[in-house]
Amino acid sequence: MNAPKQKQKDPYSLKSFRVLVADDYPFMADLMTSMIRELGVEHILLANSGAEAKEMVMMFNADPGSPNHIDMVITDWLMPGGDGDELIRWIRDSKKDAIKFLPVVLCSAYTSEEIVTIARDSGANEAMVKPISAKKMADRILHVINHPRPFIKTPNFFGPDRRRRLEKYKGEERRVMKPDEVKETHERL
Amino acid sequence: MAKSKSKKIKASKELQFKVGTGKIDEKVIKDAQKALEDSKVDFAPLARPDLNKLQKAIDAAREDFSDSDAVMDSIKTPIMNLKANAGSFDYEFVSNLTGMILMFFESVDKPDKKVIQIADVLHKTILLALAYNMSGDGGKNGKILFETFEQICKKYKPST
Repeated sequence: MNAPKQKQKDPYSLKSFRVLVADDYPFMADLMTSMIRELGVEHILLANSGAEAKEMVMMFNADPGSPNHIDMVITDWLMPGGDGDELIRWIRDSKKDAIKFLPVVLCSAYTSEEIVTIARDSGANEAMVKPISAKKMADRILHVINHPRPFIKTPNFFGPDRRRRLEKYKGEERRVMKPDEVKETHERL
Repeated sequence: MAKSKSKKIKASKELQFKVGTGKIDEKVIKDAQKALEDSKVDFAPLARPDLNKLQKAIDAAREDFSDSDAVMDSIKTPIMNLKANAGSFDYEFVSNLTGMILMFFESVDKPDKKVIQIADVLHKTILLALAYNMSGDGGKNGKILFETFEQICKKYKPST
């Protein structure tokens, strides 16, 4: 068995985590920044459009050897100068590994089902429905870190596996999630 | 056997090696939520551009609502922004109301005069909510307004 190349650090030290927030509303961007900072992330970059986000991703992640890679992009869906889903497609179409595998969380005020579909099909790792809360934000960030998904490459799609792993039914236990958990999952979105 | 055109690339654990795994302390999340709630941003000026966009979309729709998708998109987009921002800046009532109306608009195939009227009343209601600082859940009046809108949406029947 191959041993991991790097030794794991203590649980959750988000200090070195680098997040790019792309949102055209300066107030919303500031709000998200202060919240993410409270969660322990010290390196937060801001972009006020999809185009600016692309420039920043290129600047920080184009060089594979750079120690300052952006680790995650949190992007709004509707923005001038390139929407969030366009940004995600651009990221997934990149030839550079440090860009194309970049985890992305798509935020939108749109109704849950639609945003989840758009996010899934454009190659986002997670979707988050606004209004945001600290719990929602922490859940998304931690989910991407704790449950990395394999990537799928087909002629029409490149992105995290769109099929979530399902638990097998055991005996008569047919219901995997309790009703409260289903509700909780919907609320999480 | 034909070769599959799809390829699966193993999940990367790079981020786990960088930051660790586990949970974030509940207190940290509470503090982050407090930072959000303590932000002294006034929602009213923030909402103004979206309210103006909504007004323009309603005016344009009154003139011509033949292009259903374009009309609904122009109305829904500012409402979506209002929903998102209101919730983040302690206007839960406005956020819930716009969220409910968005869901109603989702069910509309073709906009008609009644739909445009609902959008117009919503616009005026948000203006009043901001003028009267109806932050939080909007209190008793917020509840009445929400239920009234809910009834209007339930009773809606498309024009024939």
